[in-house]
Amino acid sequence: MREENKNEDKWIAWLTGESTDKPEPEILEGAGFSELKRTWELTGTAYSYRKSDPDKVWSELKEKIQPETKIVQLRRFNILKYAAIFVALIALTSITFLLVRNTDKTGNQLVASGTVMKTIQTIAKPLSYTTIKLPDGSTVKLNAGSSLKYPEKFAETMRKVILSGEAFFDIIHDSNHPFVVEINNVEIEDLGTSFNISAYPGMDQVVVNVVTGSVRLFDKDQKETKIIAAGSSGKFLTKKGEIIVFKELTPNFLSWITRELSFHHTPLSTVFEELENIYQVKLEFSDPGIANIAYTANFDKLQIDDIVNVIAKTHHLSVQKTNDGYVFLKKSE
Amino acid sequence: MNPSEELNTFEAIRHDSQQAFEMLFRAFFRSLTAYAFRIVRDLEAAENIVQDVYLKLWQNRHEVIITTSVEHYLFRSVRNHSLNYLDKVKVRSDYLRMEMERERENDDYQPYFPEIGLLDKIENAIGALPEKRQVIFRMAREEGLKYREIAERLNLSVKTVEAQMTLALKHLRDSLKEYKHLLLLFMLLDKGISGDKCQCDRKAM
Repeated sequence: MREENKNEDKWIAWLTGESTDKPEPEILEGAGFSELKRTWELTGTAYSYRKSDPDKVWSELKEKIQPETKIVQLRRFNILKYAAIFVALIALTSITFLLVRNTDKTGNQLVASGTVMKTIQTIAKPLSYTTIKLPDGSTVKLNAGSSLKYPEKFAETMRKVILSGEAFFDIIHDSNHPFVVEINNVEIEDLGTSFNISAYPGMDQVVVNVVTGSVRLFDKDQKETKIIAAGSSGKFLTKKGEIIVFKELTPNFLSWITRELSFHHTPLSTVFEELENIYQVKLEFSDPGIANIAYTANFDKLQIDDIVNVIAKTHHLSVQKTNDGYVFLKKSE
Repeated sequence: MNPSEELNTFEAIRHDSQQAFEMLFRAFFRSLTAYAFRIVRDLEAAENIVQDVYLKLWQNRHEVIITTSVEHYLFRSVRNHSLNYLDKVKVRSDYLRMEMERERENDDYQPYFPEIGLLDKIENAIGALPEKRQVIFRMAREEGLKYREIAERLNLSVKTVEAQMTLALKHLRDSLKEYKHLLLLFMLLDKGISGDKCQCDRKAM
């Protein structure tokens, strides 16, 4: 028995770090050694995976990052130095609102201190997003076909911008000069954190997705105002003038920048709406039944024609190109 | 966490969200610790290394640029910290040295997202060893003790410890053979032909 195990004794002693007596290369590559090695590693992985203690280590780690949190809270007194950044993503149904705004209120809206100030309007390129630097150093990514109005120099009291379409704000936080995004009759104020706002075409709503901290969502006359906290989202129904708060984030809210999309039992009608918004194409279907198909997939930075083909193949549909997009047909048609 | 969730989480961390940071920590902590353990063979050291990697990530969150994925970045950092640790404490076995050379080229971290079912099976297999053999095996595997230290603690000869270790590992190999389909996954991964990622393993976390 001992004789039989002699080689294995040697291999295992080497494996466990007991000896430096390295087996021959052909042994190392051989099945006998490999199996023992895998068993050794597997038992180690299982042990350490099981016995490691995330709660203990997190509480230690939390202590170590705490001091910084206190500094962050001090930013009220030293705002520029500890400026936090927040993120906002905003979308609005149509550009018509903006056109109305341009002709009447915008001048007053933007100039809170009463001094006359020039405003700048940027309209994004038709097929991709445009990055804009604001006068305070903040940056904005503006989705295709969207537009943003902002003053050449921000007012003394408040930083206000007017958006039509969809945008991703990367804002330097300064609570003495609140940053407010205005869309239609809805306003969103940064309360020192990161958030995303979106409103999809034809839905008469503005959706806020808060990544960290909180934001305030309110209508112009402040009748309706809600604070939306981290990890949740708020929906402003513009027709009803009502705000609903949800305890989760909206799926794919950053896809128009990341081009990464994930659908989980999503009706194709919703899938198409999101793809239209991101890829700036028109997607149609010939049969109303197609709209209700539940669709599950992940797309990572794919071109629209690939995505369209994947969807068609998965659900046995045929797809044809149109002037401005694609139309899905039932196979028999 | 899928790559786009990782990206959103990391974006939130860059904007100082401790909540997002905790999410990222909990998503990968056990897997990263298991990975570090494979290199340093000391659970406490492994946990400290992982904590250190996260602390550095938090401190440098505004500067860090992640070109691959957050997961990849974390595993890379843990590997580098673990290798530095071994250099510092100067216990680098021949076997580990060879493994780590290999690790430098290996970017597949799938084995560190083990299925919960497999973990149970491994634990049961170890639990089924005869008592003395089990104690010896656990001392070597879990506590990283040398044969001599085990022999002294248990008042046995080094030869006995050696023989029991061999019997234990062979026995475990055989009992885990029943789960060939699970072991196969590890074998394929070992050889770097994992193909597409097995999402089912991740969900099991």
